Amino acid sequence: MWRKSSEAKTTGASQTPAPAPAKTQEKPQVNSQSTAATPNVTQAASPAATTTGKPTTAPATPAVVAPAAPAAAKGAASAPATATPTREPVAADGPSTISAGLKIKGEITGTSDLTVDGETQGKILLTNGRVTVGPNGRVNDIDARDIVVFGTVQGNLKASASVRLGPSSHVEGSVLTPRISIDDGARLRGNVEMVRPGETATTDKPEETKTTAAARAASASTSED
Amino acid sequence: MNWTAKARTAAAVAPSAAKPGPTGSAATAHKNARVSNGMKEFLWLISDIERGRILDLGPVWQSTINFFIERGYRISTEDLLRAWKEYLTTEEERLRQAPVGEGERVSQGALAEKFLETALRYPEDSYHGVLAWDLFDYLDAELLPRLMARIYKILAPGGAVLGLFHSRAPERFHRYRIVDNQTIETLPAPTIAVHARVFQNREILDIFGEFRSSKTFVGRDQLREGLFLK
Repeated sequence: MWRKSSEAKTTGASQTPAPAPAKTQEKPQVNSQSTAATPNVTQAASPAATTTGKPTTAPATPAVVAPAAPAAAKGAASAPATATPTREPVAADGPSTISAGLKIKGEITGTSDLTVDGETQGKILLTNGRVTVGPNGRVNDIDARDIVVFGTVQGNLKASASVRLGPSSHVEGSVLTPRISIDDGARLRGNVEMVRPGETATTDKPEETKTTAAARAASASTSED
Repeated sequence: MNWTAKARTAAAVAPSAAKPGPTGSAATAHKNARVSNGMKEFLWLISDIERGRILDLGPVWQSTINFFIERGYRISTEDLLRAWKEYLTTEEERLRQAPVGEGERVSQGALAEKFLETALRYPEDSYHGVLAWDLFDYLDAELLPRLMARIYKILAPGGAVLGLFHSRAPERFHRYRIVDNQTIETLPAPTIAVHARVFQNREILDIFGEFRSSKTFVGRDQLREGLFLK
């Protein structure tokens, strides 16, 4: 199992003064184990792990080795032969990502957080999650707890907690949220409506005016007569 | 709604006078803030409308959104000038890309018509206030009357339009946002359009010919503020 990032940092730091030959011998061994056991090793890489891995791996091996650094440290501390990296669930807690270049059609639902830097066509419905639209992201309607936009949205944004429109955001549609944050440079074509948490929208259409309402009431009373 | 019909009761004036503390300090904190009697009057005119709808034809600003939301209004934004310029750029590009002889050049009037097929599409009588800022100074002669007709159409009876008119060609392109009840901030911005013309007072009245009444204020910076009622 991977170590916690704090542990990895500590062990990585303590390993740095160790003799260089020992490191170079152990690294390939652990790498082969980890890549065999965890095919999605690049996803499991956390920033901390990457940072920790750099000092030991940079001179000899490419960046792919970085996630294995904590395991290498563990192996060096105990017995390398018994080191059995298990399937890493780190990515399960992190946000799912639709990266740039990907295009997805259809509704997206779920409970985890989502980052979209690609393109989606269809509603994104993550009522308890946070949706982040990256600078390259292009999406339609979003219904989520928190919404952060740096890219393009052609559709309505409905958030139960908050919406943030970043400086490079371009939104064409309504925004319905209890809290909104708009950075300078954001572009919005549509209406903003604030609701209390748990409250639903009254209507997306502009409210009818008093005159049209009165005319409708008059015609209704006439028809009743 | 009418200036004579709507009595200046203490309650109606209260919002601007009641909170001198934080709003006053906010105004002085902004470098480019200017007192706007037009804004003060605009807010007074729409103060009776519950959950009124405001259309801001400038870029979206947090302060402007907050200002209206906190007062119970619903606000829409549409940066019309930017949309118009982007539309023109796209059309020019389309013409440039077209094979020789196939790209037909359309008139400015036709371009304006086509632009308004996608811009400012709101139901009739749907807004109680429109903040146009100095938009009219930057628009082409072909688009301006068509736009005025559209604004008139989407404005509810009694609704008001606030427009700013330069007395001479401005040195820089500016954007505007609300600071408080009677203060707006003029923000220098990258130029997205060239100042098209300086309107004479008579011309201003002409382009708002359909509107029921109007009022003009002149600021110390010679920026004229026009308030027009449907």
